[in-house]
Formats: sequence, structure tokens, C-alpha cells
Amino acid sequence: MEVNSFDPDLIHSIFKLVWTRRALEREKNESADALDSEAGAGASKKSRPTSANGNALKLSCEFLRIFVTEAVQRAAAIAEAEDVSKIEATHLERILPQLLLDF
Amino acid sequence: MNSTVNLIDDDDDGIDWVAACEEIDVVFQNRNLPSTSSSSSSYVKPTSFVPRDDSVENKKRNGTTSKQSTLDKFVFKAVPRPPPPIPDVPKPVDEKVPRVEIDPEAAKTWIYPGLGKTLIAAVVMYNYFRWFPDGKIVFAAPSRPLVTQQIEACHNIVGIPQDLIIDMTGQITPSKRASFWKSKRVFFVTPQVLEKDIQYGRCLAKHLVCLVIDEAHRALGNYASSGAVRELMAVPVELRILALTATPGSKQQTIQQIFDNLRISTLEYRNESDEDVRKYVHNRKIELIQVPMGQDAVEINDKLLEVIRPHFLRLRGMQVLHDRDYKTLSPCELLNSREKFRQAPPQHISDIDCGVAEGLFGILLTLYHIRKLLSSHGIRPAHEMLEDKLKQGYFARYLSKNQDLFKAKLIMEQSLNRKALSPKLSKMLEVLLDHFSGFNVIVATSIGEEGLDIMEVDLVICFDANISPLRMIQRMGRTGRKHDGRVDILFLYEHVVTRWNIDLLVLTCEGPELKGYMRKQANSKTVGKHMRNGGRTSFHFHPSPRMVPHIYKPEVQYVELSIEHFIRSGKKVKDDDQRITPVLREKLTEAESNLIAKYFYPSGGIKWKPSLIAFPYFQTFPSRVHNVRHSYKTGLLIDVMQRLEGRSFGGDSKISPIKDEVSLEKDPGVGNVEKREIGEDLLFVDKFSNQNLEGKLLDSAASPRTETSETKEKPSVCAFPQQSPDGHSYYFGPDYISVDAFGNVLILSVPLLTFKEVSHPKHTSERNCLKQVSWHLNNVEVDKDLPVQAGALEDLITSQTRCPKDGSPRSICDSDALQEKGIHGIERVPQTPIKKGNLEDEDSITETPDSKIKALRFLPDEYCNESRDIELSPRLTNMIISGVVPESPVNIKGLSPGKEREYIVADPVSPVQFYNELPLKSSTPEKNDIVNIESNACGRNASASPINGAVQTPLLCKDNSASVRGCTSTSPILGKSESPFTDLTNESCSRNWCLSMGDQSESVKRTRKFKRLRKVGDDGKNENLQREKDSSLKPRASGRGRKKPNNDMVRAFIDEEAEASTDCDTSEDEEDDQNNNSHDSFIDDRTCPTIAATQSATSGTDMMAIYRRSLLSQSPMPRLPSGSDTLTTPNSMAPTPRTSERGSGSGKASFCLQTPLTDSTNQSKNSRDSKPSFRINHKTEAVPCSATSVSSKCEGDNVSKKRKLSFCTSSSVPTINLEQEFQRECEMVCDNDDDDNFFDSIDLDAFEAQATLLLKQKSELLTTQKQEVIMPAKPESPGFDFPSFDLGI
Repeated sequence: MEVNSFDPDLIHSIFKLVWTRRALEREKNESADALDSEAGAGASKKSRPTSANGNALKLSCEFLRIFVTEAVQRAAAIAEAEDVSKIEATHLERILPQLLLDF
Repeated sequence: MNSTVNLIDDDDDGIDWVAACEEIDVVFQNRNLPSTSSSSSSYVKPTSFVPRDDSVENKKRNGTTSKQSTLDKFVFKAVPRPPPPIPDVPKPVDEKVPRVEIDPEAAKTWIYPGLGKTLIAAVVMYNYFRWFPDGKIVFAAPSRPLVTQQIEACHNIVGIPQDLIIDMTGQITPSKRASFWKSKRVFFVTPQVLEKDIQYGRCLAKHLVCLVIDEAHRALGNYASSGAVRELMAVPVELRILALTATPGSKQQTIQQIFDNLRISTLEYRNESDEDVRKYVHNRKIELIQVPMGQDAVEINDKLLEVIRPHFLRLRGMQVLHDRDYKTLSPCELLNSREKFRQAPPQHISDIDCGVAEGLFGILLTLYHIRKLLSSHGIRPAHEMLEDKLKQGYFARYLSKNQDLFKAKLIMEQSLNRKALSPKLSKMLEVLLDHFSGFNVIVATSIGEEGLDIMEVDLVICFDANISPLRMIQRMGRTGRKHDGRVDILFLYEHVVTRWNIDLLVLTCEGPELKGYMRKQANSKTVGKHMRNGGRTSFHFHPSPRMVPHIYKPEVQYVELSIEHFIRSGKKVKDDDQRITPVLREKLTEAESNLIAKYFYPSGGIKWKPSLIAFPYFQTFPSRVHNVRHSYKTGLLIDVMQRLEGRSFGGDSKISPIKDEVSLEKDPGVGNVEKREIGEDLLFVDKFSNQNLEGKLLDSAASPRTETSETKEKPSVCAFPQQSPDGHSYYFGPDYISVDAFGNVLILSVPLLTFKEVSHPKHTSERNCLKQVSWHLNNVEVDKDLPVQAGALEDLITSQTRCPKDGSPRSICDSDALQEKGIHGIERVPQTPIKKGNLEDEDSITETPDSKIKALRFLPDEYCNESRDIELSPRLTNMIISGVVPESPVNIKGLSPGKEREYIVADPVSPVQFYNELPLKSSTPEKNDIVNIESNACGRNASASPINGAVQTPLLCKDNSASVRGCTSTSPILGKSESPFTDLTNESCSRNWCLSMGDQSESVKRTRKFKRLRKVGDDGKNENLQREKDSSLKPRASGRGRKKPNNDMVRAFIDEEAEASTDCDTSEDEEDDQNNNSHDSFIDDRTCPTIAATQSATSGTDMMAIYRRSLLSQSPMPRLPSGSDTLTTPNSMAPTPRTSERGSGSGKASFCLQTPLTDSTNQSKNSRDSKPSFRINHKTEAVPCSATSVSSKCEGDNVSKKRKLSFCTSSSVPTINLEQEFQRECEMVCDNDDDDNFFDSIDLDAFEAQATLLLKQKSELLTTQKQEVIMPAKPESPGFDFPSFDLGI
């Protein structure tokens, strides 16, 4: 594991952002459902925010770092092949499907 | 401990062993060894200490550590020291810093908190760890948190390998602990665990060498640690016990008890004022804060005193109590008095009075206790106590009516109702806010007293001061570890009673509480006095044997310890925090923020999302990876995408064969070339026949295919599709086949190629054969010459394969003629081409290029013939020499167009060349030029035109990679072109793709390596130009062809081609631009126009190749049957394709031609290039077709048109030539494209596969870098194709 990985705090806050959003969505959905059925059951679960163990977070950072590195390198290869010095979104799109499958 | 602390050494222990330090590996075994214990440990130690100080330095051989010498010394020195006088003034001293080191079995070290107990323990443990490799070391700490704290501290100090350390608490099951006891060496346990494990035999007591007991003051009575020691003593075990505590006890008796329990033999005592410790001790200010009792409390206190006073007086009257101020009496004194009274009741008191006195004592005790609660804890606890007591019992009965008490209680209730805070509480808040704002606060009960090692603690606030000095010291020890610390003790004082004036820091203290505090401080001083001198006088010590034999004298060594970072158990993730990740503090640059805004904060409100389906083409082959390999799923995706795209492009299966072929070709290639040179006409003929047969078969097969596909492009397409699949293989095959033919005859490198080709591309070979056959048939002998030429043209057109075939036939013919006729053959060959050219010209009549070509051909033909011969010979020679077989084909190719014709001739000539070689000498100069040109052309051809490449490939077989690549590339191109056109082509395309994928890269590289590569660049340009020309005008095509030839042969043909060449040049530039544009467009835009343009540009080469191919095919077709026939018959098929190509667009004709041409070059480009090329081919082909066939060719995709075209073409062999030229050009272009493609897409793979080749080619590559640069652009074109496909999809 490299020393220079992503800042766990940063990743964690990103995660939390996603979790909260998802929780909100879920809440929205469930509230819709709850109207029909009962509302109280899922409250405890919903109210409890998702959290990450410290090691899991560290691992996530490393994973993301590898993922991003790989994406950049592959896109760079494409860009280089096109003799372009700047990686554009289009380069990423070309390697994206395989990249996603590789991870 | 001071963080900075330095450490201690082992020496203390060493001390014991000093004299005899033996490494005790043996110890256990040799327990009986001279563990001559110093008789009386206590003695020994002191004595030893002094000397040891000096000797300390001599210490352990093992070299223990030692930066900590200071401690060591201090330890030793300290011992002898006289006890400091007890301070008169009660200081809030942290006095006890006793460090006791006890030897015999236990070295007990008492160190004041923060003075380094843990350090000493760690060093001792480390030394034992080293001395006794098999020994077990136990560290006992009273609570689990302390265990974990100490394990880390010890690890960080001396770095005992963590895998040998285990911390065990009651949370670990006994069975697990048993296994740990066996596997580990250093144990951090709680005393309870230790005791139990010893009792149940889980711990291997006999292996224990060192037992460290932290907080040893707990070892009183039946405490676990004392129990454990007793167990150990019973075993008996020879071990060293090191007991550590900051607070040995407040009384001599208790300390002695500890000594007894732990079998302490030596005492080392240090306090803060000792010199050896002082420098490491931070200041710790003790601040007594007087807090005035609240008004209510004072009133209550007064009332309580009122209640107390009569009872007190009464007791005093009974002379049970001493005459004292009842206001200052404490519950303890009262208790003592009662105790005294009970034990020895005064004689003068009656039994009844005794009972009364007992009752009074009880009442007073309760009252004083309430009063104490009031003073130290506030009104509420006092009130609760009072309430409780009033409910029942003697106290309630006796005092329930007491007015004063009632009033006191009333006041309490009133105060409580006001919810007033205890003055101490509010004061504490004040202190906290004043001094600790910004600090974190830990609120703890008495559990927080001991052992917690929090370096940063700056302030300890003791809410109650009236506690044992032991606990006070422990509390104070929590601070001042890292910085100066402060202890605030909050006292409540009654304003009335202010007797104690302490000049400490602040505060006037209140009576009872402060008094108790002061008294206890004083008490501890006395204990300190007892311990100062090592406790020799005060305590009885237990002897213990020395564990290290005297033989060994440990010496002090200073060793830098490298300590691995302590890794906590998985539950605790704190260590993560220790890794400081670089935080990006720089703000984003403007560009970066813009970028972010672009993709994440789009003004339009629509977020950009990467598309997964934007570039399906890119998913048909594995992308380059950096560190992460492709997954299985990716492989599946690629597979599926290839199949999906394969509809339009081709099958994957072909790739492998092609590759194989390529590889095969490579090796044999060189030999083939020679063989070719040797190449016998007969063989060629046979081959041709075979090829023809195959071609027929193929054609037949193709015809159906074409028929099926005809719907789209109809005849031509159909024919081509068939041909395309077959054609690819066949093309390869033909090349190979021709080679085969050669190979058959001579087993030339060609044969290898042929073999490969045969296996895969048999179709192409067949086509070639068919064509050739058809040509042969049609042309017969003379015709044969023509056919041969046509074949040559075809070969050129069809790519190398054809060329070889053609060449072979040609060579056969030529060889026959040449060999037989000698130079004539060569001449004939050129002538034939010329004728063909003428025919083509005728066909294309309208087309200036054709005429030019013809003229060129004629002129060149002659020259070419000669030159060809010469060229061929040189080529051959060169080829043979260098093994650059491809060049000859290249030359041929080059000849095929304008000069190409010559090249073509050369190709056929290749055999001819051999023949020619003889003539070469005669025409050497020209030939040389030609050769050069050819070489250039070849290079171009190879790179540019797949055909050339293909031809070259077979020839190049030597170049294997290049040739193979070329072949593969061409085939793929064809396939690609076909695929777009027809399904059949798709297969070929797929194959081509595959080939192009792997092989292409290789071929590209190879080609690059070869002159071709260089040429390729030129070719690429040429191709581009050609493409443009083709697309734009037939003349251009011709011009292109000419140009190419010009490039190659330019000098010779310049005059003829001058016009064309100029056009070509411009066109080339344009083409290049187009190509670039196309690439760009491919990448970026998928728009049809761009595609078309790109196609035209990219396909230009392909088109050329296609044209050539078509011409070739057409030429044979017309020769053979008519266009209409072509549909059904292979020949017809060929023509139809031509026509189709011409008429409909690249379609079929292009396929024939294209396949070969495209195969070599386009393959590298892969599906992308090939696709574009196909499209382009179609377009270009259409254009060229129109140009060649003019009217009929014009885009008339219709079969009729094609047929017409085919007819025309058939009629006009020259058209074929032109086509061939085009093809050559196309090939050139294609090659270029292919190269580019290869570079782009296949670079890595190709490099790997062709690593060897690459090595050779590297130089070439360097030269061709420019081309390479171009290459990348080309890949873009494929991108376009993809997009276009997407659009189509």
C-alpha cells in the first residue's frame, strides 16, 4: 500500500455524502410505501447512518486510488495514441467499459 | 514519563546479574547452574550497585541498548543514596517516587508516576528476552486498558518483535491462552489471568524468566499478583520479579507486606527530586484552590455544629473524648476514639453510660459524616444522608425532634430547591473555563487514577482532596508527563475556619479537608524516608538468586534499536490515523476548476456522464492496461463486442489463424523469397492452377455470398464478401499460395506465406488464383502474359498475396518467359502489365490516370520491366540478403500503380527479378533507382497498401512480421471492407480485425521497421492523396497511383505521371490532412459527413487497394467471364466486385482488391481502419470505378452497373491495372493506415509478439517515427468508423 493514497477523511466525507443521499432517497421511497403500510418499522434502520470501519475506509482509499490511476493511465494511453497531450472525457469513455469490468 | 524520556537500561536488572551474566539459553536447562544467588539479595544489590554503576558500562555482552544509560546509572546510584529529609512543611509533594528494585527474584522498582517505570520494565524485559531465548516474560498490569497501553509502550521502547508478544486478558478463552503460552514469549496479562493460568498449569511456569508487576502496590493480601507469585514460588521457579509502583504504600507495614508477597529483595527508590530523575521530570504545580462554602452550606454547617455540640459535650463529660474543639473533630478521630473506648472503656463509666456513650458516638459519627459530605461534596449528598438517617434507627429516634437539625434540614431543602450548584462545582467550571478552554477534558472516577499514560494531560483536577496519599500521587502522576502539568485540588473551606495557610500556590484551605490532606502528605513523607536508603533498614527483604552466571559480565552497549511500528489489534483502528496522508492544500487552478465545472457543474444543468456505449469499436479489443489486468468479464465483453461488430467486420477466429500464418510466414518468408527467386514457373503455374481452382471454389462460394450480400451491394459485394472471407485468407493464401506455388516448387518463403495464406486466406489465394487463372485462361499465353500482368496487377492490387501469386504466375510466366526468354520475360512482364495498363487505360480510357498509367506503364513498363527486373533482382538480392522479401513485393506494388505497374511487374518480377537479376546488372542504374524507388514504393506499398504489404509479406516473409502483418492487415482490411459491405466480408473482417489486432501491430511494426514503414508514411500520404483522388476523381486515383509510383518510381515516371503526381502530391497532402482530420473526426465526431470524409480519406488507401483489387479482380473477371458471369462464376464474381466497387462504391470490387490491399495495411488499422477504408473504399471505389469505368463505374451499385463495370473492367484490363495502381496506392495508404492503426491499437501486443522483430525494426521504426506519429492519427479514423457504425447501428 502506497503512502500516498487518498485522504481517508476526504473519502469518508464523500462516502457519507453518498450515504446520506441514498438514505434520503430510501426514506423518500419508504415514506411513500409507508403511507400504504406501516411507517414505524424501518425508522430505526433509517435513522442509523451508514458508517465505515477505519480499515475499510483505508482500503477504500487504496482501491479508489488504484482505480483512478488505472483509469488515468489507460485514458492516457488512448490520448497518446491520438497524439493528444490532454486527456479528455472521450478518452475515458473508450476505456471505461473494460475498466469497469476489470474492477 | 517524559516522552523524551530516555530510557532506562536493562541495567537495573543487569545489576543483579551484573557480575554473572550468562546467556541463558542454557539457563533453563542448566538451572542449577551457578545461579549462585547473591546470598542476601538486598546486600548484593547495594553493593553491586555501586560497582555496577561503573561496571554498568560493561554490561551485557549482547549489547543492550542503551541510550538509556542515564537511567541505568540513575537507577544504580539512586539506590545507595541517603533518604532525603522529610520536609517539614507539608508540600504537596509528589514525593514518592520510590523506585524499588528488588533483586532476588524480584526486582522491584518503584518509580514515581512519570518517572519511567514502564521504560525500566521494558528494558528489563528486553534484556531477558535476549538473554533467555526460550524464556517467557510476563508483564502484569492491573487492568485491561493498562495492559494494552503497556504492551504498546514496551514495544515502542525496545522493539520486541510483535509476533512474539501477546496480550492476554480474561476476554481470551483459557484454551486459547494455553496455546498462546506455548507460542509466544512475551505476555502482557492481568494478574488475575496470570494467577489462574498458573494455577491451572496453562502457563509454562518453568519457562518464566521474568515477571514484571506493574502497580505493585496492589499486591496486598490475596490480590491476584501476590497469589501468582506465591504459586510461582511454590513451583519453584527461578525468575526475576520486577515490581513497579509509584505508590508503594502509605505505611511501612503495607510496604513490607508487598515485599513479602512479591518476594522483593531490593528496593530502588526515586523521587522527583533525585538528580538522576529530575532532569526528565516536568514541573508539576500543585495548586490548592479554596472555594468558600456557600452561604447555605455555612448555615447548615453551623446548625449541624449546634446539633453536635451538646452531644460532644456530653461525651467529653464522660471523658470518652479528649478535650478538643468539636468544630475540628473529624469522623476518623471520632472513630478512633470510639475504638479506643470500646477496647478500653473507662472504669468510671457504668454499663448504662457505656450504652449511652455508644449511642452518642453513633450520632456524632453520623453528624460528622454529614458535615463532611457537606463540605466536600455539597449539600445534596449531605441532605440525602440526613434524610436517610432520619428515617429509621437510633439516630432518627434520638434526633428527629432536634430543632437545630430540623432547621439545618430545612435550609438544605431550600438550597436544593434553588438548585444552587455546589460552590466547588461552580469553581471547577470556572477553573476549567479559565485554564482549559480549548482542552479536552476527561471526566473519570477513581478508575482514572492509575497508570493511564496520556502524555498530553496538562491538568488534573481533583474534586475531592481527602483521599489517601497513594491515590493522590497516582492522580498527580497523570499529568506532567510531557509538559509541565498542574494539579488543582479543590477544597471547600469554611470561611470560619481557616487555619491552614498554605503557601503553595494559591489557596487558603479549609479545615477538615485540607487538614486531612496535609496530614496524609506528611505521612507519605515518612514512608519515603523508610525507602530512601533502599529500605534496608526498614524492610525485610527476601533473597533471590542471581540468574545470570557470574561468568558473564554484561556490558553497556549503545545500540540503536529499530523498532517496528506497533500494530494494534484489528479492533483498534487508531493506527490508521498515524499515517498522515498528504492533504492537498493547494487550491485548484483555474483550468482545473473549469474542468470540474465542465463535467460536474454544467451550466446547462445537465451533467456530463461518461458513456459506456460511445465507442463500441474500442471494446472489440482489449485496451492497454497499466497495472490492473483485464478481468474475465472484460474478455467476455470483448468477445461479444467482436461478434457484434463482427457483423459488419469479421470473425475473431480468423485472427488466430492469420497470426499463425503470419508467424509461419515470417519464418519461411525469407526462405520463400529465395524460393521464389528460385521460383519456378511450373510451380507457380501449379499454384495458379490450384489457386484458380480454389479461387473458383471460393468464387463459387463467394458468389453465393455475394448473392446474398448482393442485396446490399449486390454482385460485386457478394463476390467480394465471399472473396473477402476467403479473399482475406486467400489473399494471404494467394500470397502464400503464390508462395506456396513457389513453395510448392521451391518451398520459398512464399510457400510459407502461402501455407499460412492457404490455411487462412486460401480464399484470397484462390481469388488470386482464380483471377490469375481467369487471367491465364482469358489471356492464355500471351494473354497469360497479360493475365500474368493482370495477375501482377491483381497481385499488386490484391496485395502481396496476389502479387506473389501474380508474381508467381508472372514469375512463372516471366520466369518462363524470362528464364526461357530471359530478359524478354521480364520485358514481357512489364509489357503485360503495360498491356494491362493499356487495357485498364482502355477501360478507364476516359480516365486520364489510366492513360497516364498506361503511358507510365508503357514507359515505366519498359523501364519497369528492366527496372523491374533489375529491381526485382536487387530486391531479391536485397531481400535475400536482408531477408526483406517484402521489398520486392513492395516494389512490385509500387510498380503496380504507375510505377506501381513496374512494381507490380516487379512483384511478378520478383521471380522475374531473379531472372532480372541478370538483366539488373545491365539496367542496374535504372534498376537501382527503380529498386530504390521500388524499395520506397515497397515500403510504401507494404505500409500503405495491404496488397503491397501482403505481397511483401509473402516476400517479406523474411520480414515475417512485416509481411505477415501486411498480409494479415490486408486481409483484415479486406475483410473489414467486405464486412461493411457484406456479411461475408464481416467474417474476413473479423479475422482481419483479429489479425490486425495482433498481427497488425506486429506487421505494422515490422512494416515500420522496414523501409516500407518509411515509405508507409509516404504511402500514407500517397494513399491519402490517392484516396482523395480516388474519392474525388479518378484521375486522382490514377494520379495517386502515379504519385505513389512517382514517389517510388517518380523519377522514372515523373514525366508521365507528372500531372498525376502533382495532383497526387496535393492530394496526398490533402489526404494526409483528411486522414488526420478523419482520425480526429473519428475520434471526436461520428457524423456521417466526417465519416465519409474520413472514410474517403482513410479509405482512400483502402480504396486504392480496393480499386487495385477490384481492378485485379475485375481484370480477371472481365477476362474470364463477363461481369454478369462474374456473379455466378468466380471470375464473374471478381469482375462484379470490381464493378460493384467501382459502381456501387468499394463494395465488392474493392473487396477483391481491397482485401488484399487492405488486408496488409488495413488489418493493422483493424476494423476501424478497415471499416473506414471500406467505406472509403466504397466511395473511393465508386469514384475510381467511375473513373475507370467512368459511366458504369459511377456509384452504380446496382448489379447491372457492376456488371457493366465488370464488363468494362473486364474489357479494360488497364482499368485493372489502374485499379491495381489504385490498389497499390490504396495499399500504400492502407499500409500507412495500418501502420498507424497498428501503432495505435496494437502497439503493445505487437511489440510483445514482434519483440524480436521490433529489435530489428527499431532502427526502421526510428526512421519511421514520423509515420508512427501519423499512425496514431489513423487509429482515430477507426474511431470514426466506429462512431459511424454506431450511427448505423
